[in-house]
Amino acid sequence: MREGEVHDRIRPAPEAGGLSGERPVYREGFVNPERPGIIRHVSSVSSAGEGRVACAWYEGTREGAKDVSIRVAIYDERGGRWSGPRVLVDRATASRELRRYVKKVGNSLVYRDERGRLWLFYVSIVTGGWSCSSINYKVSLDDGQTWSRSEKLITSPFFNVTSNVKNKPMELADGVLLVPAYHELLRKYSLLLRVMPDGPKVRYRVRKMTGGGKKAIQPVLLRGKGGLAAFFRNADKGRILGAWSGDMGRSWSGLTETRLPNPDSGFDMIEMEGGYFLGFINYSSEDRANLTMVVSGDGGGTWRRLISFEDSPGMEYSYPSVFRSPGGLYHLTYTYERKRIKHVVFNEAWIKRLMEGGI
Amino acid sequence: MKDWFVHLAPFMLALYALLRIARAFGLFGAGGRAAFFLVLLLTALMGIVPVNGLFLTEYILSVNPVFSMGSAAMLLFLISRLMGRALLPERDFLSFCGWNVAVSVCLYASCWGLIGPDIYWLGYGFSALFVLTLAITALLALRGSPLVYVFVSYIAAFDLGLLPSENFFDYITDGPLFLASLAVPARRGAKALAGVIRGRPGRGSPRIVETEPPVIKYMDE
Repeated sequence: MREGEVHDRIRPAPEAGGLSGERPVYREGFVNPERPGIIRHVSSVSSAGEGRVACAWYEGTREGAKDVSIRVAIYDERGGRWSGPRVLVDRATASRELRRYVKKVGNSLVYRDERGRLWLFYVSIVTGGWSCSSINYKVSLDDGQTWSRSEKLITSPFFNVTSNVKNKPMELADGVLLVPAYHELLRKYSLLLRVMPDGPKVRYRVRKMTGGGKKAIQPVLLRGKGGLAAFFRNADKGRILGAWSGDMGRSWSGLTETRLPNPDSGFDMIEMEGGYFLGFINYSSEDRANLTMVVSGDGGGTWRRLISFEDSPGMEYSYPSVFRSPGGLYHLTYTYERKRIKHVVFNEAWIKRLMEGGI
Repeated sequence: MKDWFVHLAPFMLALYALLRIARAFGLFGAGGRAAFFLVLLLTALMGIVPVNGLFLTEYILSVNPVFSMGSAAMLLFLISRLMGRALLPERDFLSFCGWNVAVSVCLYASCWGLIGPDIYWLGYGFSALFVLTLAITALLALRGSPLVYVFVSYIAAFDLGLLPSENFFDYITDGPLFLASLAVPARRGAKALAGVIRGRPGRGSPRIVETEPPVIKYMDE
């Protein structure tokens, strides 16, 4: 599929109010075309206003290269087409806006809050690797047309290292964003940023989610019955880790192993109607050669595989990001062999059909 | 106000570094005060001439985004000592270094995941840390120690929001201050030890005691 080429059109359902309808919908395509010598990785997807979806990712000659830039493209749900990507941040713009030296930029995540602000959280590095990263943010009030200057977040007392982001925030009723983050210097553990928009600026606090025992990073936050569930990438490989909070993220239980394998790779999850959790993971404890959707009906206690989107030995399909649009469509993006960002669209009817059949 | 205040300690760091270089090249002597103002002017000039779009203090802030009030105080002590005037008695200076190391070790052990409790979280809002700092401030005031001004600066700067952080720990300590609080006393201790070793005579060698020359009185005086 070429850049800008029409994704299969998704017709609105006969019932009022949505594009998803009751007919199962499934479409797949790519956000961007392949370019020789360019890698794409760590995509993030979110609403960008009525019927629009934003996808951000980073691309460059290699991960951690100085030429890496964060790009964004917009998808029109009705038209089924992605816009051409444009550069949102690179090391030069980050340096100019932050008024600080920036060696390279990295992971980013895009998120639209209930008040219509489109946020971009991204990391930058002055020296060293990802274990020396720090988080910055930009905000758009017009769904990505224009953006504020980058602002740095102070999340660590030691040279402000290290904090990184991967998965989408959770918005509380009072407008506070819980932004999952993680630390990788010496020991690896997860953090939770409480971001409180305050006019043009933000106020924020950072708090540990996990201790330094198990290497639990890149948390995913889900609303469970009576509290919050969090699932973590296991940097020691093995199984996805889980924890529970009964006070909206102020404190967390100890870590437990789920039954889901994890090859030390990022994943994403989302709540579905009926209290189900959907997970998009590499169903392996060794490699990232498959990307599989799993479902849990008991708050993450037990899981069932539904379908593998990709399964090619020796290849990489990784770092999925998923969200559900106001129109009821699920949008999933993930790294496709490090060359492109793949985009899959489906609806709840399609998921339910899988759940009836399953694997 | 925090937009310019955040540049104060980086400017002092640049000034201190240039003063050390000037001193190493023997530029301080009889014209000490004039040399100081010359270096101050040079630092200011370096601070307003951008290199690749950024000023000198912005490069320094790239490495450490928030310099605490403790850092500003440490730099003030070091610069004044370099100019021949110690603002703090040695004992108070060592206590200050000890305080910085103690706070930093607890903080960084938590921050690096070496211990479980989230110490940095205590720096947001009113907490036992604030009470402890107030108590130490009162104690220092009662003792008449000049360190009281440092502790008052923590609290005042935090209340005024002079730094781009809402965490009280970021007003007390930071990475460079922690390293300096280890290095400066260690360097002084090493110098003192070297001096002691040089001054101690070897075993078996005659002990030479220098005395005043004898007064020779002549019979006819």
